Amino acid sequence: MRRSLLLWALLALGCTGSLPVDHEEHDFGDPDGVDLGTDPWRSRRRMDIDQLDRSIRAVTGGIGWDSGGADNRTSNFTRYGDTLGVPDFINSSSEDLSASLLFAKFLDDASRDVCRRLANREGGSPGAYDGEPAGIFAPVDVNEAEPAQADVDAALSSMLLRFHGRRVPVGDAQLRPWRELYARIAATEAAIETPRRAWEGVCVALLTHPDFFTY
Amino acid sequence: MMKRAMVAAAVLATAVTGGAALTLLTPGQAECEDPSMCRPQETRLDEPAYLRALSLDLRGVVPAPEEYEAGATEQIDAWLDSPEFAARVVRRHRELLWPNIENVGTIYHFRRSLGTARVGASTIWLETSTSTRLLLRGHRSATCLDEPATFDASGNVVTRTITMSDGEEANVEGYVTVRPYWDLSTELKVCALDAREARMSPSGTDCSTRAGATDAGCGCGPNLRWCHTGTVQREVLASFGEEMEKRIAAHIAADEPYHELFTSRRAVINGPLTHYWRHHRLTYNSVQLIPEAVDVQSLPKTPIDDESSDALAWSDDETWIEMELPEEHAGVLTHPVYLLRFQTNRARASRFYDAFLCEPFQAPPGGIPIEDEVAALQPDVQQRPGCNYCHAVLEPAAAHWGRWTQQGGGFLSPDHYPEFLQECADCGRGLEQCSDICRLNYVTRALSPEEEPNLGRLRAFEFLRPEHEQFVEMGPAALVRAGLADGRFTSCTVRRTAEWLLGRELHAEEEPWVRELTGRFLESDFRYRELVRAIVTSDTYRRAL
Repeated sequence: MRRSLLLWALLALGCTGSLPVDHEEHDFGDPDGVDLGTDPWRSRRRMDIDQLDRSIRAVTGGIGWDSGGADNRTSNFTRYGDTLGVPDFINSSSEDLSASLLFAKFLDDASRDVCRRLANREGGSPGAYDGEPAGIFAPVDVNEAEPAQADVDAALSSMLLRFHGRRVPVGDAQLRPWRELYARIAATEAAIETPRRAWEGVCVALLTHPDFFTY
Repeated sequence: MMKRAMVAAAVLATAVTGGAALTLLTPGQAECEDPSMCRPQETRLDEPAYLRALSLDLRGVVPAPEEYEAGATEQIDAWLDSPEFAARVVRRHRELLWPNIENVGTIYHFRRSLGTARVGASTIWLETSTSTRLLLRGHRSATCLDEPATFDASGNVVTRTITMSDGEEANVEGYVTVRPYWDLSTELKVCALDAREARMSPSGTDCSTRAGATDAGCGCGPNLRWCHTGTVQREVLASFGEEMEKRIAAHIAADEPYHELFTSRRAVINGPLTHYWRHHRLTYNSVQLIPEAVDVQSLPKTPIDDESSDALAWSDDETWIEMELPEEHAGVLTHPVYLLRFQTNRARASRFYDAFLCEPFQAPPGGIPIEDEVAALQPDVQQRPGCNYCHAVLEPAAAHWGRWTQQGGGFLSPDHYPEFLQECADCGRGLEQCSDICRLNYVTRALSPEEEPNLGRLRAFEFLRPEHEQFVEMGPAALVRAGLADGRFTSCTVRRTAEWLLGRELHAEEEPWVRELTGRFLESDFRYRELVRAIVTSDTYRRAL
């Protein structure tokens, strides 16, 4: 069920009917690039693991991808640092900053864990253990089955700034893919049963989007 | 249906098709049939995107929503002043200095390693090496007994003979209770022979040194001070690394000239390092930090030396006290972590040349043609065909670390280690047995007639040309000063910093920009913050998709 949230996310964001896992239907090779001109420029690059860890905590109001209990909590990004390409400066000396399949897999795991906890916390779930709600999805009440469209738009606009650093005003066409994403996840069985699952899916889509993990 | 293959999809597809560097992906790879719904394809970052990039590079985290309300210009000063920026600079310097010595456990002697054994109903501590058990009790598996130790009238531990399961005999003792230095609030049961406190053994061995590890008359000393556990070893090695990073962070926080990081005498010390210098430095296995480059007696005391309130206990691992290093030190280039991470003088010089002068020692593509027969006859790599391509420069550069021990980080002061020692020359000619001083630090072997004049010379001087001999006494700080004088250090610092913040190597056509940045760096009196500010406020930095 949880995996289907991401599929919905990608679908609703405007990908063609079949997801790009069926790569025969897509041509991603040698595209026409944006003309950068002749002036020197900065490479858009992936966050390093420390930036990613801290940024996830920042956008979720303190929830990180952690293991262990309250007394011995450790970040999984630290735990899996060597697998994620963090150099130990004995056997490796430069950080792998590629958005590899392995990176995507770990970010996917992290997002699902963090976003489930975020939605539970914001929804005041009895099982939530990440503190008090921080209004990440404001003005929406994540437990509400059919929030007003204006509130959904306001929440999405606010989250795009928080997660991606993009100012997309309510009413802007750039908000439409995210509205559709929310609407399609909200229509799933899981979200009908537990409305905050829709916002969990939006959160996963935001965290796994390159506009989050690159800059 | 609108069709927008988002970059997310492109990344996913790229991953599915085998994975590729993200830098290869541009939004041009995605189709956007309705541009009004897509992120604008602008080559100059808008204000929020610029602010986000700045925050990630300078603080390592995305901005809080309210921080987007203020402009980048208004916040950049505060961000450059923040501890988070210092932490980012520390992280950047890991890539330059490779400061990990976790694998250098040989600064501890394995025979002084403590562990536990289950004896009867008790857990009892002892030196776990089978060699030490054999030495102390006559059997490789023997532990002590789960009963209090007894002592004879002279205070010696009383042992009794038991038969082990293999039929061999062992002489075993009871236990005593000890408050270990790593946790003085607890009492451990420790085998009495391992817990002996005498500084000198009956045979005259100083038990606080590595010789004590092989003397049956030595124990671990009061509070087990000369022995270690695996945790102790890891904490000390980690503390050395942390100390180097604290120096860098303090340097950035104080906004001092960047080059002083390589000449500064500032250092800090915590509880584990204090204990190491006071009680463990002499119990090394094969890698040593002696002769000490610090005045051990001037260091803080530990509670087992002195119960005064300013003593640093082992548990004070988060308490760091500032101290000043002797004049011979050259900042991070003579830090124990640098010396132990790069254990030969050539490796030390090579890392410095690559990271801080942008001059890596690399053979040209295709290698170097060498006439093997000619090369085999030339013992001096500065002149040997092929080798001389790098070593003509590398050997004089390495000489700057000539007063620091290789396979270790001791300091060979000119007072105690002169350029030439007759006794080492004599032992090299077979006239007498070589002492440790000669064997470890002086040339005592000549494999060819050309090498004989070097017998008895401090190793750093071997094959060194007369004009380069001064480098040994000048130390690695001189390399920094020379790099400042001819501009190589300065321009390399600019280049490395720009490459870090731009995420790519610089192109030849960007040299004018590098020169402009170098000028601003000089004008600011080498303030690293100002260099970073100049780069991140440039059009080049802001020009990104």
